[in-house]
Amino acid sequence: MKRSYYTLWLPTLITSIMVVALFWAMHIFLHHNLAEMIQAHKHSQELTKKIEKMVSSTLNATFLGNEKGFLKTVELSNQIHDDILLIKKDNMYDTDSLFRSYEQLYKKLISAVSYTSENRLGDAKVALEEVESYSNNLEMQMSGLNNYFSQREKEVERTLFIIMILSGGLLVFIALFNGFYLIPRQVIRPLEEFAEALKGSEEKYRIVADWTYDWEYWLDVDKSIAYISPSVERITGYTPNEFMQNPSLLVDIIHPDDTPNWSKHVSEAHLPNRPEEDAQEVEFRVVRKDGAIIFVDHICRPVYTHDGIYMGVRVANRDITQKVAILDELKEKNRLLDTLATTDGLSALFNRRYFDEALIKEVEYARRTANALALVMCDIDYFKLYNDTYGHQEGDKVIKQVSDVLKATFSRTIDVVARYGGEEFVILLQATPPAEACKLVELARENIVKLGIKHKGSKVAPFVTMSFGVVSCVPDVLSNGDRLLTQSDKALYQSKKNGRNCTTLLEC
Amino acid sequence: MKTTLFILLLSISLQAETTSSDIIRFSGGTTIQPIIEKIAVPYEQTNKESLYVEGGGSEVGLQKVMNHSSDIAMIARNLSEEEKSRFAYMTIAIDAVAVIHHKSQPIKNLTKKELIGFYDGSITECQNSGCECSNLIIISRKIDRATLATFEKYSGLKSPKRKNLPPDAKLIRGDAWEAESNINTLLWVAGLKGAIAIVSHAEAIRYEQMGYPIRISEIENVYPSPETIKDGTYPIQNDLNLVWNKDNLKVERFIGWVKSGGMDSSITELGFVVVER
Repeated sequence: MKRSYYTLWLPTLITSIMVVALFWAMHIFLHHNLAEMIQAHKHSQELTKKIEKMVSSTLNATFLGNEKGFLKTVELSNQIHDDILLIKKDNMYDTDSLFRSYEQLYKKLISAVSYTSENRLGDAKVALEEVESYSNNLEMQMSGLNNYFSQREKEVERTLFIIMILSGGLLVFIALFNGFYLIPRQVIRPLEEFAEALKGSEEKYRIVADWTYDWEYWLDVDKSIAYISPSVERITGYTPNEFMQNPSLLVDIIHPDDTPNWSKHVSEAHLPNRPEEDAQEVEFRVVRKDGAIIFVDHICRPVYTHDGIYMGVRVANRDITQKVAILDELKEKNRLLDTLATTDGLSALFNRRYFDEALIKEVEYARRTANALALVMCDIDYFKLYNDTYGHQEGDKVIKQVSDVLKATFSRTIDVVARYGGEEFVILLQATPPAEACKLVELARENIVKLGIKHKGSKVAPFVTMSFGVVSCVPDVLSNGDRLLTQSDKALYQSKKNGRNCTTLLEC
Repeated sequence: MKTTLFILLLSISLQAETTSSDIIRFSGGTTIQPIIEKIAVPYEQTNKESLYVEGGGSEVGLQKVMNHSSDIAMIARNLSEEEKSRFAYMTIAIDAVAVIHHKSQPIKNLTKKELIGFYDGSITECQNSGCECSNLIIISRKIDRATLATFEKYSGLKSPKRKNLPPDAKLIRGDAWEAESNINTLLWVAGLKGAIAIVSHAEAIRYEQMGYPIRISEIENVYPSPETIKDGTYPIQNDLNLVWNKDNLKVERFIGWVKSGGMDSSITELGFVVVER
């Protein structure tokens, strides 16, 4: 376009200069020829009258013998002199002959005056006759001069007419050249091409925008909707036209619980004078036209022109409902995995791995809080014999039943009941001194007994029983987790040694 | 114009020349003519004679006295010794020959050399003198005019119209206009912007004061004033003489009146310098 611009104004400039030059030449021509010639013609016409007037004035003054009356003669003569000089100065006419004739007339006229003043009337009479002769001669010359100017006027008018025709022709040529060639070639066609390109570009942009999967819209400076993509209907159930007709729908469809978040976002993000690259994001729920609730991720940023003028806010809303659902499912699965990783599959109690980690944490907590931590270790008496007698499946049932009792007995959320391996179980009781621990353990032992699960192979009782070893203390440097395990294991061993189905308490 | 011309010609034709024994007839230089015209009325009121005055130039006046067609010649030049011995005469005043030009010409002063150059035609480019030569008109005087004689004496130039000139005589340019009288000269200069002329100083002063567009030039940086004329500083000057035949007793009463100072005030009023008697 820049190149076209230059190629446009250069010939226009040249032609304009030509026209200006032509008109300037016309001006000079008029100034130096027509105007001055008319002035010279005027002078020549006045000259004739002035000469006649001067002769009359002189003769009257002579007749009256009035010296002061000759002043009029002198004045007119000076004016005539100036007029002839002006005509001569303009170089319009050879005035030498005119000058000579006039001067001879004046010479003779004044001579006649002189003779009269000297009372030489005869000489005066002769001189006046000569004056008449010179006067006639001068009149003829003036007539010739006037004819000359009339002829020149016609020539000038003819030349002026030709110049006007040429100027008009040149102007018409410039107009035609610009109108039918230059402007269409250099301006209109590029503009049309540019408009077509712009239209195509807009079309492309619209196609791209319209085919955007996300729901996009553009809020103008006055908060009206400048554009909204068709994908809004897929996401919200409302058509773009419904939003255009009712812009408040953008807020109305937001879930009431998320309205505060949305208002906060609008007050912070939908403002001018924010950096263009500063995108703001907020998630909220939208109540679709069909009543379904979907999750939307909203990202917006201010828009500025190249000149830095604020143009509003451009928004991209993405339907993240499916993503949220997948995340929830993933969370559940993770939670399940966590459960599986820490739970014993048969007894539904914590497994040994979980216990080992819990033991370290609980010992540290008890030491920090100076509370007594009780560790209980227990197992089912003669359980191998039970398996041998009733089979492993039945043995598993026993383990499950026992686990349920233990879990029900040590039911505080902070209590950790875990299957330590085979028929062995461990229990961690936070903030439980030895006496309290023993009471709870005894309660559990009695509840096991109360189950009344037949156990023919037991040498203690005809039903399933359990032996318990208990330690309880405020852990110190020496009484760490291992120490508590060792001591509780000793206590259990002691219970077995004491005849099983009993509880032994040892110090840490 | 033709009508006016006809009326004037008719009026001139109807005029008759007046002659009478009680008339004292004056003729000659137009320089002196205004003096006589000025004293005519007061003189006629106290005397029985009338004064009739005509111009014609100093030489014409002298001729008319010689042939008794005039009583007194008005001679505006210095008289020769022969004239002084032959005629009765009286020097009544001193006048100067002024060099005048049109007021539009920026001339202030002319040297003698420049003045001669204008009149002999050797100066045609006169920028140094300040004039505009494009329509330069040199105005001389007729050979019977005393003003010319005075100028010839000062410049050493001679009118080409004079007879019996020596071969080496320096002449006034041939195309110079020759004016008859002072008024003739003054009107030419006033009406033609390129004119330079010689004229009676007193007449030039009088016409300049009447508003005629003329200017008197200094000669060798001396302006012609009564003082410079009287003390002789201004170089071109001449006597104004009244000349008559010794046997013409008719003029004695008038000459006596002049000698008694009857015309001195008029002489001074007209710009001439009265001579001491």
